[in-house]
Amino acid sequence: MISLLVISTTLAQGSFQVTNLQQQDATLARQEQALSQQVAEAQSPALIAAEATQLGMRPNPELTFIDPRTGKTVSGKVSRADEQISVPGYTP
Amino acid sequence: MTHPPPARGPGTGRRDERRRPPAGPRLADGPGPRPRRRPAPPAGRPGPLADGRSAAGDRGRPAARLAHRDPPRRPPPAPPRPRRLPPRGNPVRRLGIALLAIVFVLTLFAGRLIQLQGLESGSYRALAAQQRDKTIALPALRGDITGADGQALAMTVQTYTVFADPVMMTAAQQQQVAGALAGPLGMTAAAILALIQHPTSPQYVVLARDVLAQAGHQISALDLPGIGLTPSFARSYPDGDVAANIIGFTGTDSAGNLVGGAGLELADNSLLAGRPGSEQVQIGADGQQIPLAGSRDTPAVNGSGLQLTIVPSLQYDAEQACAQQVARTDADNCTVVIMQPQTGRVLAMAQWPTFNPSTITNAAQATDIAVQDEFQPGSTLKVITAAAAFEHGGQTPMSAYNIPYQISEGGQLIRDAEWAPGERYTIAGIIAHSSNVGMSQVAAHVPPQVQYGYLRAFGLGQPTGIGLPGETPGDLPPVSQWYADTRYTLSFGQGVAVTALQMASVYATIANGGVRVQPTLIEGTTDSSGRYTPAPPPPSRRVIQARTARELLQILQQVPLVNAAGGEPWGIIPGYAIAAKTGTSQESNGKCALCVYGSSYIGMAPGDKPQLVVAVNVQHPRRDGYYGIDVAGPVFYQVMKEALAILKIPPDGATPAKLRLTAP
Repeated sequence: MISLLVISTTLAQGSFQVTNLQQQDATLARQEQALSQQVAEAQSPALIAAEATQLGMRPNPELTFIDPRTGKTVSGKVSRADEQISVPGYTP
Repeated sequence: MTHPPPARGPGTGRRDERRRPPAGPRLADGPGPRPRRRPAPPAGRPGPLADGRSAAGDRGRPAARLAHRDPPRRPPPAPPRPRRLPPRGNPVRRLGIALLAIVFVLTLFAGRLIQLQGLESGSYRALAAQQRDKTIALPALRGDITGADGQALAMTVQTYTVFADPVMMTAAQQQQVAGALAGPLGMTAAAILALIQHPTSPQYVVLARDVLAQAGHQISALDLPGIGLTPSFARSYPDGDVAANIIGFTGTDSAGNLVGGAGLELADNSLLAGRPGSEQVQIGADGQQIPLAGSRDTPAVNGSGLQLTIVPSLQYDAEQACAQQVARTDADNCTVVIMQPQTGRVLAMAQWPTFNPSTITNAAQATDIAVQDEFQPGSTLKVITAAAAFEHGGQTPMSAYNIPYQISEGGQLIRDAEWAPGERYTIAGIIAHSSNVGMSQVAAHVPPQVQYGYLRAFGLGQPTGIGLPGETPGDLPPVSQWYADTRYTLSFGQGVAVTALQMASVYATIANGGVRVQPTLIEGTTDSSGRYTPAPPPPSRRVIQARTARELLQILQQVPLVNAAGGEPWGIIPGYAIAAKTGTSQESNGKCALCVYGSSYIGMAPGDKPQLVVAVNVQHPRRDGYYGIDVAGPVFYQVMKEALAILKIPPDGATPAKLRLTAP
């Protein structure tokens, strides 16, 4: 009888522990989720563009690449289209 | 239980005597056990005399008791006495009656027992089990949708439904609770109080749904009386309206599960949703699980994640360029489709206007214009009839044609937007200058059935196979339904309805050396255990010969030069050879004939092995021109340049092929 009591007490104890840990797990999962959502929102292109504009950044009109073998830059010229786009007040 | 037999009379009598209180006061006493014990005295006899030890007196007791509950108070009249005597004197019958009654009652008990334990045992067992067993629904987590760079475009978040039980709080507490909840719920205290004071049912009112986990945490920490939270799931779109037309939106079904309502959320719903499971456990009175009681689990299988080929930053740029142009030209809509010709991957499929997937509720608000709207393509379709003429009409890019001011073909007068006397173009020139008159003459070399076959082979008149819901196949009538002029108008893209994605696919086929790769949006899937499976490569088939594709590409490389010479440099990005085609179509709507313009510009870069196709279509511009180059050209320029930068495609250094456009 006593061993039966011990066994069932231990089991009940374990059950409480399981419940506790499950709650902890759920809390941590919620935290993880809230944080990953924050990250995803911070990564959104719209937000990045808006913040960059606020910092005074503008898209680079020049499309320039550096060739690592020769060290030379390719392109870098502004096309006539950009001149047309650069007219104040004009949005393509 | 039965009364003692009369034989034991004296003994019984003595016992009675002992218990009985003295005669005198007994009479004065109120009711109580006495009337029961006192034998019913025969009428006329005084009370004390009834205590006589005669067997008759004893015997008379039960019978009298059965007949009268309180004989002494109202002595019965004399005559009935002799009539009542016979039953008293028949113990066998009395015993029989009693036994019968007992048997009857026991039979009832036995019957009920059989009923409970035998006949209805099942339902009672079920009721008991219901009280003890608890089925915990294990919802499957809906899979995320991510962009090509892993950026989450749609994700599932746990939210809470916050409800109140007004009965649990006093009026003062209601005020207090409303005030405390105002912050976390983002509602005014007055609005919350109004909900609490006018609950939907006496003990339940939902204060807010889809409350984010953080706010839910805050609320449960406040430990307010009568406020409860139920967990639920909601779909979050961190990028807002970016790629909304592709992703679609989700709603909630009656069981509270998320269900796709449009776009990929709908098309791949079963993949994303997974399979909800359940756990059956036995619980104690306090809700604690009973250990070792056994449980039956059906584990939930979480939904798979979808990784798209969409590059979110590119998609965003294209949407912004579209939005600006729609605002500037007051157009109905604008679409940009960016494709990788070798793989069929759609890198962006942008549109304006678009929608916010978090706020819309029905599919009618979630139109994916690039696959659901059809339009007449106009001159961008010229390449198909030209390809047919090269392969089956004995023509070459250098075949020369005189271009008169107008021609009449099949009863239709065909004219060009611009014309100068004495024009004589090669086919390259006809496409580069976009001459309808010239193209109609080229079409005369192609039998209608062949022309139709080429249009079909390039994917017109059938769904592209991209796997988005509600895709329209467009409208390419079979040859049997053609009018006399159809073969000519088809050659310059009138009399056929296409989608923006179909047109992008036509040019991707040319860019890929004549092999059409079915457009695809899915890069791969990640199953519930996190294993990533790349999507199988989409089916591909050869549509035109590699040589024809190369010829067309070289011809198309002339277009930006021709446009630039005309003061429209939208196809010129220094360092890159760009092949492109403009298109301007006319359609009628209910109000006017041929007054709705469709302006398009489809271009490929870089050079002879294009890695990108950008197809722009602006439908029904009302301001600032309507030619494809004017309206769609600037969008193409902006998007193509951004795409080359974002995808890090270096300049090919190639100069466009030199082709003779004007024939001698």
